[in-house]
Amino acid sequence: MSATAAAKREIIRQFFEDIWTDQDMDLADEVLDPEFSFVLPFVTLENREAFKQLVLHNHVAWQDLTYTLLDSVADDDEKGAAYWRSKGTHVNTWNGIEATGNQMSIEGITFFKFSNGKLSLALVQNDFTTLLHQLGVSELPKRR
Amino acid sequence: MSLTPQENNDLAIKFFETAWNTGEIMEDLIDPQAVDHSSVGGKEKQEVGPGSFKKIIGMFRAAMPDIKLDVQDEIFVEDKVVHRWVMTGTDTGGVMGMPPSNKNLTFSGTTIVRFKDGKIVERWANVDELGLLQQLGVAPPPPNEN
Repeated sequence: MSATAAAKREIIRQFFEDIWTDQDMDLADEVLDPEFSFVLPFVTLENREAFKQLVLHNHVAWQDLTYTLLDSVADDDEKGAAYWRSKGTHVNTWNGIEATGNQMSIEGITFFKFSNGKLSLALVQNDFTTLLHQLGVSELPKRR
Repeated sequence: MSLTPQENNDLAIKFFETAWNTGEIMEDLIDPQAVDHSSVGGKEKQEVGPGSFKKIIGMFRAAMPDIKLDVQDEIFVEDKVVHRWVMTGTDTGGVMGMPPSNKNLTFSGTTIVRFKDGKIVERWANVDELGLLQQLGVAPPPPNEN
């Protein structure tokens, strides 16, 4: 049986505030399916353990890394979505980019699927080019 | 009068397919005070009314006159509609101020709109801009998350 829309929105809130921001890995084990897939346009993490490693890894690269849930929706079936903002300070190498000390603030939209009341899929779109600009990556074309 | 979530979704599909695939902006479906929160191309945030839609759609259709929107998944609940989509087109006009590449481009994104009384009053969108730039050969290769 699928979870109610309200229950799904609560899991979405926990995903950003408790797991991404507060690194609560026990909660990750509770609300993420073991086969949870985390999909960015350029990379796919195939399971829950890989995602947990990403969260921990990003907290090393980014000091005071936070994800703020700005809005969420969920239906009574198996889908949800969230609009969010992430902030942090770049204090260690990330994606091959050495620490810049720069602050980042980006927004994104994640489309979720649930299976048996647990999160099974996150399809992420974020302001990745904005983030690269904030880190001073120079290969990108200048913004108008 | 408020519409059902299904009716909102039907309007959203009609509005976005018409806009992207033909260039026509159905202004009767946008509130004059509609807020566009999207930041595609680093644009200024929170522009009001249909002008913002016209600008972004005009920009992409000038770059890719054969651009086509394919809505791949949707959520509609209460006053919100979410679409996960893919766009394809041929870059004959030049994307984001760059010279035309004549390449076939494909990029994905997610859009959320909020409806009130049968009109769009807010829009949020996020687009795989990096993937688009990579296809044009002007961005670093895909990052490795490890």
